[in-house]
Amino acid sequence: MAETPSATAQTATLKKVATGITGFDEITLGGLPQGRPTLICGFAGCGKTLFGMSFLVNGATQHGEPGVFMSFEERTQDLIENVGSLDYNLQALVDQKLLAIDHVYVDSSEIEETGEYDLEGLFVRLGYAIDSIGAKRVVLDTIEALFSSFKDAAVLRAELRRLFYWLKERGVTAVVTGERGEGLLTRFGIEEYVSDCVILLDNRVADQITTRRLRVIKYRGSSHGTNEYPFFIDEQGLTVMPITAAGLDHQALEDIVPTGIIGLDRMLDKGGYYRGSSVLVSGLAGTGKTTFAASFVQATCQRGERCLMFSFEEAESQLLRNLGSVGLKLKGYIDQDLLRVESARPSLYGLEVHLARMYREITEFQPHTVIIDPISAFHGPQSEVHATLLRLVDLLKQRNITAVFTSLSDAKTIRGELDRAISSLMDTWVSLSSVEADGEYNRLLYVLKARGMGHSNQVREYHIDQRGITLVSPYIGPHGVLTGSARLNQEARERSEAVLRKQLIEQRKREKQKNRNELERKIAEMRAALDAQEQEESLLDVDESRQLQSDDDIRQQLALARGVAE
Amino acid sequence: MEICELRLYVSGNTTRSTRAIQNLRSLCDSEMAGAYTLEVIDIYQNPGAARDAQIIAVPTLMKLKPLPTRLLIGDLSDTATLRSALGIE
Repeated sequence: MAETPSATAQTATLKKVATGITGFDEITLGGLPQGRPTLICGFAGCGKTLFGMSFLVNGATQHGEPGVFMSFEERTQDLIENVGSLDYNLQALVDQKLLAIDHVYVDSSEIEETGEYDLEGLFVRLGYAIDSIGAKRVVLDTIEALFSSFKDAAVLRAELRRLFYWLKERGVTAVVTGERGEGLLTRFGIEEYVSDCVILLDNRVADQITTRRLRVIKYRGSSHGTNEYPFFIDEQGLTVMPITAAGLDHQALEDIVPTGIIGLDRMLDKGGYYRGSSVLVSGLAGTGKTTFAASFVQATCQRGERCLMFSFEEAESQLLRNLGSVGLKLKGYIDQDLLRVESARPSLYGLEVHLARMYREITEFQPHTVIIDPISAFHGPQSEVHATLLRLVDLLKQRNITAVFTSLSDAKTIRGELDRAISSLMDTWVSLSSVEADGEYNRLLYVLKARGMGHSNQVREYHIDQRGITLVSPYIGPHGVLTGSARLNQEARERSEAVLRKQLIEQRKREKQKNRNELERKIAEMRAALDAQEQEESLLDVDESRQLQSDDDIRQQLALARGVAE
Repeated sequence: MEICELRLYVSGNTTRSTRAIQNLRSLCDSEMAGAYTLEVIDIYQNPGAARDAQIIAVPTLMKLKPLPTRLLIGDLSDTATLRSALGIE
């Protein structure tokens, strides 16, 4: 709950009693004024009785505070059965003395008035019921029914005034319901007597869709949200959606969460989305928006984090089957309670009720990741759609929940103001498209923006098959980006050119080698010739020295011979 | 003649309650002495009875017999209505 300084200051002076109604205690900064009566007014069927009953049941089950329900319209048994359709077991609470129900039935046609009277019987019965269980909370539903039972309105008014005073004296926190009258909050103007806190419930139908709204008209001694807050009723009782104002005070995180698609991670400089950021995946029909979102679901659950998926186009089983066909097996995560899928037709409720439901689911499940598939399913006045999304984005950001929104549109063919308005809410925008060329459609992906990180400026082609989404390296040539068969053709053409080139080079290499071999052979031959020459030369040297030797010998022999002769 | 069975719900001894008892007794004693029974129930003493009998306004007079039952609220100062309710001509 948002504790503001003013709220803490007020709780010191004015004590409040929590109603336990989701969201209501937040807009009233704590609940209803303790020990004082509160008027809940609205037209028939707007949820007054249920508001009162929720106040008592929650008080009994959550705070151990017994309560008295005094019904002026429904019989005790009817009441128990009617709220039995919710998860409320009134009979058990009655048996545990946490709840006392008294049905006040007055048949005006039987009564004859014969002088002065007062409504002491009502006081005695109420006092008796309060004392029997030690009640701290009281609901009077709808006390104005007494006006049709008794003729003397002056007496009734005086008695009601006394009753509310008496309730304050008893120190019980009371909820008094009143049917809305023409030009008045209640048919008989009892708001005059219950002036501490007045809450108006409303039930409006627009385009055949009903939206319930709640407004705190008056809260003496306390500040409170002044807007109309949407609320809805389901088996868990009442849920009020407290968020209206756009808060831009959330903490920006540095954490990165992978997108679940390797190729897409690589296109983003940080390797994924920032945790707590809002991601828009837009594209035309059949571009695989849901698959992109589901890949992120798988990545989330693989990390052991919780993921909540709101599906407005497919029922849970259909969604799981279809995602299974592209290799995303999510059933196991549902069994582990890591994944929850909430399917609903967009037209089932008004926008704000959707928002309120999402709010409750998110509060309850505490997911790390939320998927809204698709936001384009919401129809309505553009300003309203935008306001709803704004609140949703703020709600998610304040809880650091990473959100992926899918949208049936194309970045190139922005349909109108709405799309532009949505884009300003988104931190990352992945645009999907399919391009027709050469008799085939090919899917292209482009990161249009990624706040706070650099990202690839390239258009990538991607395939969806039984292994999921695979990004294909782009072919970027002189004629732009080529996809599909054109890309394959181009790549094949380039491959064959490369082969040719390679063959040519090898041929040349072989020729050169041959030349080289030739030269080397020649060098070897010449070297051999040289060697032979050198050998011959050395032989000649030997001969020459031998000759000289033999000449010497001859000369000596001659000398010897001559000497002998001399 | 059938005994007239009356039950009067009062709140302690407030003026209005006392007056109702007086008005009823004086009429019954003068018009149908011995032919009626009157049970006075103080809802302060017996709040459960007030709940069981669906009492809101006080004083409330119930004519249980003879049938049909009649239900009167107030201090019974409107003698004409009281007489007609009790079947006194």
